Amino acid sequence: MIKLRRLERRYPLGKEKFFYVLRDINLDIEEGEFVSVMGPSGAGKSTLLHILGMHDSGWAGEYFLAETAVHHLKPKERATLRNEQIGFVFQQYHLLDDLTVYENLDIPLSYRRYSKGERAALVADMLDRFQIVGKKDLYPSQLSGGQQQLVGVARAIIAEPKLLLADEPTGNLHSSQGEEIMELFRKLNDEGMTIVQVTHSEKNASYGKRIIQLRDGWLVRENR
Amino acid sequence: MINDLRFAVRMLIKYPAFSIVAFLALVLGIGANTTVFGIINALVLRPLPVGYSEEVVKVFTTDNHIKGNQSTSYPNFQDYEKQNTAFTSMAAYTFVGVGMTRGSDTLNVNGLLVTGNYFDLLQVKPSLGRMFLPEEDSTPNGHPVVVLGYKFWKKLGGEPTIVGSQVTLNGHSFTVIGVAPAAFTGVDVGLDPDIYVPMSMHQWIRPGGDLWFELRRALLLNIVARLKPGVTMSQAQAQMRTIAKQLEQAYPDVNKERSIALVSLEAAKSQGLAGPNNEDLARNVSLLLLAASVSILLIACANVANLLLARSTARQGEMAVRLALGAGRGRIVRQLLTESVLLGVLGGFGGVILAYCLGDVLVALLPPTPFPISLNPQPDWRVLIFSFAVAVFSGIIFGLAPALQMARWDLIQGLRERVSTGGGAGTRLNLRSLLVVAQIAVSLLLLIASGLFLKSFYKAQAIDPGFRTDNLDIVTINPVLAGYDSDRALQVVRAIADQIRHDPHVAGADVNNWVPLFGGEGRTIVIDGRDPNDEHNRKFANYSPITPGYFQTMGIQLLRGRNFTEQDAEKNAAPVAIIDETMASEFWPNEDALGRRFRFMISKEPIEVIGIARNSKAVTLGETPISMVYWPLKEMTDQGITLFVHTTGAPGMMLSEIRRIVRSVDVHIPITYEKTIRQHMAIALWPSWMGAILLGSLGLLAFILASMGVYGVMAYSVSQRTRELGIRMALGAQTSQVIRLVLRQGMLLAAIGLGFGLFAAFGSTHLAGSLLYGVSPNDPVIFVGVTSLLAFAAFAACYFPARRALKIDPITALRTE
Ligand SMILES: Nc1ncnc2c1ncn2[C@@H]1O[C@H](COP(=O)(O)OP(=O)(O)O)[C@@H](O)[C@H]1O
Ligand SMILES: [Mg+2]
Repeated sequence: MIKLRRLERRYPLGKEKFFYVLRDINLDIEEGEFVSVMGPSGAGKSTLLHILGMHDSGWAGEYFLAETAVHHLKPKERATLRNEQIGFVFQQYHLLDDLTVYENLDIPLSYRRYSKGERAALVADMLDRFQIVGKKDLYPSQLSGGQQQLVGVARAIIAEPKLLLADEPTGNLHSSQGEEIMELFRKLNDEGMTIVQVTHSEKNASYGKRIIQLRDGWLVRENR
Repeated sequence: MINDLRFAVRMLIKYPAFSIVAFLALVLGIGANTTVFGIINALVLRPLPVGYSEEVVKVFTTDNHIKGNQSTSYPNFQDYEKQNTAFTSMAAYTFVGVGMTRGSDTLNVNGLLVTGNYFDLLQVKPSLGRMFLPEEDSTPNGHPVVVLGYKFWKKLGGEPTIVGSQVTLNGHSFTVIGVAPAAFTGVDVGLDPDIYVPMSMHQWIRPGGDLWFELRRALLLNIVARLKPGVTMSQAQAQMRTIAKQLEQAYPDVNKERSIALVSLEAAKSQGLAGPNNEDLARNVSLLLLAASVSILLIACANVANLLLARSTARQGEMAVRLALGAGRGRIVRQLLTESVLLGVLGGFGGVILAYCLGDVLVALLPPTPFPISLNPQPDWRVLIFSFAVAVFSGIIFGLAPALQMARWDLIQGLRERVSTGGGAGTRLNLRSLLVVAQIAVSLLLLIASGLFLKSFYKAQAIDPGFRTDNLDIVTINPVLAGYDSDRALQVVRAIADQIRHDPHVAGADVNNWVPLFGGEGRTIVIDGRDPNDEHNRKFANYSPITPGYFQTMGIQLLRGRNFTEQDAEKNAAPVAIIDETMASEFWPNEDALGRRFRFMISKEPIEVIGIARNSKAVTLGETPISMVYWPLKEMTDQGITLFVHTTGAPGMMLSEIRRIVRSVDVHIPITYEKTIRQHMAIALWPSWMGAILLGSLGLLAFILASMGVYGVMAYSVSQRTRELGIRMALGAQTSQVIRLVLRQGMLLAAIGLGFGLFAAFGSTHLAGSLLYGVSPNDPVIFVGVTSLLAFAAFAACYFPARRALKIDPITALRTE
């Protein structure tokens, strides 16, 4: 599913000097895997996830997503590929405050080729599946953190991505709420979705089948 | 309070970009208002420097057959003065051009013939010397004395020794007895007399005009009168009308259907400026300009309010601390209002300075006028008070909403969540949006008004006046003032015209007493053989005594019949006339006018119509045609006569040659007017030109301020929406979709604003209808064109901030939280 070769991300630090956030990353993730990325704060985990999620394009090296050479794609093609393949869950949920739960779920669909009917059906489906039908007309501020992240996950997968990326999805949640999200991930993974998550907790990492350790931008260890 | 002020100053320094932009907007807004108020002040507000001017009225004659208020004849004036008991006194005056010989040249100066009690009635004291004594207006030609206007005295050198010295007026020697005070420029705004002469000297000052002072029908004199204590204007008017009725019965043939109307001196003072039938022009223009400049101020205030609202976000923390430290909401509102009023007052200072500069520019922009207009739009204390009030007022206007919003910050924040429309476009019905809507609406209204005036100006330029508009010179001379009697004056004018005709660059030179697009004399006309008492048979017509080549020189087409010959002008020739199409159709609607007869009300002699000429404009370009009688020139009046010279070369060059020829014939003949036809037309166009210039620049100002406002709000909105837009991009929004999202928000506001603006424009432009030439107040081209222009500007003002949204890096946007 994912193949990274000699991937590098650096930021300019004065003239002729660079600060390397990711160095020489080589990584293979098969379809259907559930991978947890761990490491101390500032190690480059979020950076890696944003590169995988194609939010960032200032990197060097090779990135293949489902056989497609992302590094050769033009920005428009990348955007199309991302919209087809990837869903993203944020630590801060990043729901839009001015939109209801229903409308938040609808955003990704509005940016993809879905008809009105399909959109309504998919949103209804998702509300059902996550058991939040009763909350569809509420605004994010009227939900608890766990409920908000539930909506965040629902929004990430509503457009039926093959790859789900989650950057510390439970970082702002109580442990019980976190568990609920993790159970959800396991279920999604069982249904065949490839998942890459960043986490600080060994317990959450244990839901996955494989752990990747990052330190100062180096990929130091893999536990299978 | 001092603390509030000190802190306010510190805040202005702390946010310099905000302070400068807000200051500039206020300078423009308050500057425009101060300038406009200065004009209105000079035109209508500033009271005349006349003692107890509220007691003074102007007395006008009315005539059922002539529109508007008229002057009064000398005999009638004398009867009114004798018979009334409502006034302590009545004085009369009339404008007159006078030739003042100095060295080898004769200047044309603006004189005012006044009754001896003129200055006493107005309670105007001299700045030098003395004013007239009653006996100086008692015997004809008995007291050649003159009072100088202050400005004219300055122009002559401003020496105090002038009192007691001699000046030569129309070839006669006059003694200067005094100088009028600086502030006094007569009782008609804009018309500043150079000299004042007692009315008993009229034979020297208006030689050959005796008849005018004898005819009871001649509308000659302006009358001012001071009400007796306790007498109201309506009581005085009632009494004057009773006298008018008696005069009508006593002199039925000349006073028929004539009566009296009183207007307060202050109300009448600016009515003369725009000429007859245009009494309300000054007031209408004033209201229009005031409406426009107040709109500008509101737009500027909206801009500043929006900037303040944006800044208040940055000061949220400060306010939270203040509240936490126990400041009451009232204290916070007071602090914030101090800041905005300080800003307003600073803007007011800048605005007044701008207005001082603009005042000079405006005077420079004044087009040439047929008579010298003297206006002083420079701010005086009245204007300064106005500007200060405007500054404080706008400080409160633009400061209040942000201050209240800030003092209630938490509450508003709470409200926000509920007010959310949830429409997906991120639009919020908040104060900032409302201000943008209002700005766009107001500037659309202003732009439509200025568009209408610009089009009207363009249309007026394109109006065919019915005569030559190129290669024509217009020169008015007045041989009667140089002492010629009517016959000799006629001879000298013919001699001058002949000499001009001999110039190789001249195709034709002829004369007329009527100056097209300026004016002349009019006469009441009765159709021969019909009952003169039936008003259908009695009409007013303009009167053009001309030489035979006039039609050809002017390029006016003779439609039917024959032209005048030299014989027609002989004293004992059969009286014949040529009339224009309007007169033909008005007097003989379904008949052939050719060969018909009519007579002037003042004579018994029947006149035969021998030709019909094409219509041409007589007084204004926008006029509805008025009847015109052309008549062979047989006699001269003291009003001067005008030479029309059709040139083959550049008409400007020829003007000095004409002047040389006149001077070579007699150095004493005053030249009272000399213009090329282009310059002359510019004078006729000046009301619409002023309208176009003033409203156009105010419209442009509104346009700039509103565009700034939209841009500011959209840029701020994009910066506020960074996180939201970042999330949307992370969730798959394409760049075009993000731009569209921002544009949709801005254009929705613009559309609402344009809607309100159009609504207001449809409802109000007809108010300016009387000031527009040949343009409907709802002209679709202007409405559609200006609306599209503003929509496009709004689009641009939204597009650039929207483009900035594209630079949002989703990762950074999402990290900020
Ligand atoms: N735009 C940037 N410019 C410079 N340095 C950056 C930028 N973004 C991230 N970094 C740096 O990259 C490093 C890795 O950041 P990040 O990937 O967010 O770490 P993690 O998610 O592992 O805590 C950090 O040291 C951070 O300061
Ligand atoms: Mg991170």
